[in-house]
This record gives sequence, C-alpha cells and structure tokens, in this order.
Amino acid sequence: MEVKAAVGLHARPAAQFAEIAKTAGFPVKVGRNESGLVNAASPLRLLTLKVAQGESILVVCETSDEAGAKKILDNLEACIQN
Amino acid sequence: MAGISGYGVGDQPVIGKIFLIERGNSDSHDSLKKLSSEDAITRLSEAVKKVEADFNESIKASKDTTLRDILNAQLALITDPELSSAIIESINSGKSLPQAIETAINEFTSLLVGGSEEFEARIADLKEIGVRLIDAAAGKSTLLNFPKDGEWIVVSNDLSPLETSKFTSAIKGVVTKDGGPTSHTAIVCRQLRISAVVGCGDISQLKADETITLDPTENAVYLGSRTIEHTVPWWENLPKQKTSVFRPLGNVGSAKDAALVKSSKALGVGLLRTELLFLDAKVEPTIEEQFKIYKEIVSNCPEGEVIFRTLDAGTDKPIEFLNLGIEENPALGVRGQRISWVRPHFYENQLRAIKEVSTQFPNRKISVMAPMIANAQEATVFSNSARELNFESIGVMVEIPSIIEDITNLPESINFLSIGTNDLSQYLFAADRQNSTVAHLLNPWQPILLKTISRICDLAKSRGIKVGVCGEAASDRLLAPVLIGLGVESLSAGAGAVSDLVAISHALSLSQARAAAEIAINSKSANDAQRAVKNLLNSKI
Repeated sequence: MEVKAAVGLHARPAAQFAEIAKTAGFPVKVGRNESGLVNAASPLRLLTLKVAQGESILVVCETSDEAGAKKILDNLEACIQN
Repeated sequence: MAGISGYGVGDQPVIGKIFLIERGNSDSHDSLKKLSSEDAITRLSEAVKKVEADFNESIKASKDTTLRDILNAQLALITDPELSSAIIESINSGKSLPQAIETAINEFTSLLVGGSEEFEARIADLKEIGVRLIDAAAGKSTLLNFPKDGEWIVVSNDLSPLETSKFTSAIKGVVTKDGGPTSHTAIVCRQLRISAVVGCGDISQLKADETITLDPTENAVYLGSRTIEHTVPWWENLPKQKTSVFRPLGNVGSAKDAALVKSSKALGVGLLRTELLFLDAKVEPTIEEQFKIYKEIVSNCPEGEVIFRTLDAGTDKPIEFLNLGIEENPALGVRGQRISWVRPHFYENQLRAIKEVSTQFPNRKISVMAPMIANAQEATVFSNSARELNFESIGVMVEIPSIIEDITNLPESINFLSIGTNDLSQYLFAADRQNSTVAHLLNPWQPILLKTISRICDLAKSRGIKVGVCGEAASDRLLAPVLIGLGVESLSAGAGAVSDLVAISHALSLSQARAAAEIAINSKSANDAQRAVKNLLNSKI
C-alpha cells in the first residue's frame, strides 16, 4: 500500500503508528521503497526514515490474512491522514 | 573570589545549597564496565524497566496534556525492542554496558542527522535516553526527587519541562549552563518567582551540597554565603501617586489564567492568547466551539479592556488541522497573520467567533490584534477584515522590525500597537530564541532594543496611537519604569507578575520613569543599563 503522509512521522505520530503496527499479529514493514523497509512496530526505526509531511511511504503486511491486513492498513492510513 | 555570570531572572538574591543535577558521570560507571556480557544484558533489561516505571509515574502525575504526550513519545522509544536488541548486539560483540548503550544510541542518532528540525530535535531526546539508561543501570535514580525542606539552588546544564514541573517549595533558585532570557527555564522561573541565573557557560566550579549565593539583579553567582540585602522592592517605600502613569494588564491563555489575573487587580487583559485552543485540535473548531471557550475566558477576565490576539502559530508551533507542512526556517516562514494568506477562512472564522463574544458582552471593550505584521499594507488588510465585523478597537503587534518605519502609514482604524519584545529582539538581533549561544543578544535590557522601543513610541505618538508591551520584558519589575519612560502606555505580564505591576502603577511617577529610561538608553551594555537603573530606583528610597 502506498500512503501519502498528512503529517510527518516524527515523535508522536511515529509512536502512534508503531502502536497500531504492534497489534497486527504479523510483521508489518514500512519504507520509502522496497529496498529500504524497516519494522513498523519500532518507533525508533520509523523515526530514522525521516518521513516528512506529504511524502509517500510504502507499507507491507507479511501475511496471507487479507482481511486482517486490510484492517491494519486502514488504521495506519487513518493514523497518518489525521 | 571568582564569580560566575549569566542572565539573571527575578529581583531577589538567594542563598542555598546546591542541588546538582548531573548526568553521565563516568565515575559511577566503572562498576558497569566489569560486568560479564550475560550480567550486562540482565542489567540492561532491569534498567529499561526502571526508566519505564519512572516515566509512567511522571506521566501519571502530569496534568499537562502536551507534556504527557511528549513523555509518552519518549517512553515509546525507551521500550522499543529494537533499541534493546541493538544494545545487546553491541554487548555480544565485546563492549561494556555503558559503551554498548552509547554505541547503539549513536547508531540511531547518526541516522537522524540531516533530517528536518523535528528529527534533529529527537537526537537530543535519544541522547538523554541513553544517559538515563546508563544511570539506571548504575543504580542511580533517574527520577528527580527535589528536596522538600531547606533552601536549595538547582544547578544543571539546562532543565526540561519534566524537571521544572517537579520543583518543590524548597527550590529557591536555579543556575543553568545553557539557555537564555527566553529559554524554557527562564520563563518557568519567572512564572514561579524563583530567582535564577541562566546561560552561565561554565558551571564546573559548582559542587553538590555547597552553599552559593545567587544574585539575579547582578546576573551573578557567588561561591559561599554572602550577606545579601533583602532589599525592599524599589516601589514599596514610594509615596502613592494620585494618577497611574500606565495600565497594568495581564496575559491570559485560559479561563484559569483569567481568574488569576483578575484576582491580582489588573486593569484588563493586554494579551489573550488563542493558541492553546488549537494546539491539540485534530479538526478546526467551529465558530460555535471557539465562541464557547472565548466566552468562558472573557467572563473570568478582570473589568477593562480585553485584547484578543488572533492565532500566532506556525510550523514551530504546528496546528495539525492547518496542515502547514515543514519549513527550513519556521521563525521566518508562514507564522502568525501570514497563515491568513494560505488559510484565509480560518482567520475569518476566528474573528467571527471573537465578534460574537463581544456582542455577548456589550459593556466590555473587546479589542483584536494581529501578530507578525510586516508593514502598513498588511495592517490595512487585517484592519479591513476586523472593521467589516464592526470591531472598533483594532491593533497590530510590533515584532517584525520592518513595521516600525511604516507606523506613520498605518490606517486610521489602527488604534493601538503591542510590542512583543521576545520576537522583536529575535528579529532585530538575528538571534534565534532557541539557541543559547546567542541568548545574550535577547536580553531585554539591550540599549539597542530600548532605543527601538523609544522610536516605536515616538512614531506612534505622532499618529495618536497607543503602545503597549506584552512580552517577557513587561514582567521585569526593574524594566517597567524604563518602558513607561520611553512612552509605553500599558504593560501586560503573566499572572505571577501582575500584582507587582499593579503596585508599581500606584508608585511610579512620570519623572522617575523618564529618568530611568534616559539612563538605560544611554548605557553601553545591557548589564550597565540594568545596574544603573537599579541604583537609580533604589537611591530614591
């Protein structure tokens, strides 16, 4: 999924984003492109991506559970669109 | 005896024992270096738990939602398993626990270098987390427990909001290495009326539990106990004047502030800040929602004029729903009134909400003013939109130096100017308010700033426009007579300083104010100006 971040992923948004990723029950990765993916459940790793407002990010759910993945992606999208 | 000097906050000298906040003291880490890698890993997980518990305790005790959010975000980093695994990896490669923590923290901070300010600022957070983890592993308390008895002076590099929020009544003074007149520590000390000397540069002579004397009026810290004259405030022995030469007003950001300002007998509100309303808002509050909150604040305000300042935010104080993006130089970007260029409806709605409040209180004088106005043309645009809504008392802030030479071109509808001394200094001296190395330039006693204020008053007078001061300078009890002598008509200060301003307004004579202004403006430096005025005022007693 590609999402345009309405807010930069700095301190507070990164913590909230990671909080949601943690609830997934499967690995969630995030990055600018496929070669630079980091653990989305780690606020520290999210910070190091230095995602600014308006930048696009790629979110990858490593699972076969499509419904579960959709739910997590929706929640993550809501978190950065907000 | 060698003294230490910095920027003084407050007007009372104090003597106390040093409560030293020292972080990253390497002596206590020696024992950690001898741990086996297994023990080091166990110790690490204990340290994380301890710091986590400390943070949770502080979060629970904190009533300030912004502070709570900041602490929660830091806590998320501390408990991040990726941090622990990076440290453990480093331990397994043969490093001692403190070295491993430093290596892991450095690894993450190096990735943040070169990001925007928001990310660069996290570098300091991460470093603090590293130091806290090492301290916790060494068995030192990372949680500050200020003494409750005795008389103490806190000595530290600088203090965070978390730390100042824990001050007890036994804290009589503060000395910091970093920071300046507008740093967080200085502002908090002024509010709490704690004497401080900030931005001292070198504080290595100050050792825990030793006694020091701190004299903010001399900007100095002395080792040992000095006889200090607990001077009566300069205005207390003066005869009562028949008429006041200025209006003492209060700065207000909430209904609680308003009530405090009212109880201190202020003659009105010189600055009603509206930022707090919006900082946590996810969506723009409706006109009705704004109206309700403004109405509650105004109903708690003292009798007399209430000056609303329209939103003064920008990317440094981001408002989520305005979506202003990120700027290289927030202080020089879309801030204050400039937001109306990109989000015009927001300003219109805010003015409408304020107008509704003024309709609800027909007997009150409700004024509006705009922050960050650069020239008469911008002032005209603002005053036109305020006049459309039938506001009668309209003003602009003087913070950007360029407006000064355009004062004579201001439209007739502008009735007053309000000087924000903090920002005026920042822009006049090209000195960032967040940068402690240039902080001495922001000293409100700088004769150049005072000359600028004098120029503003002269130009405004020629147009029959009143001038007030609402920055930190207005709460300096020695500077008040200087500002009045320069031609300022009202001083607006935080709740803590208003009652003194009220007392000063009963005691100060115009001739005395003019003498103070004359002497200050002709001084060679900020310190000279302050000393000369102090001598002048105290000699009249």
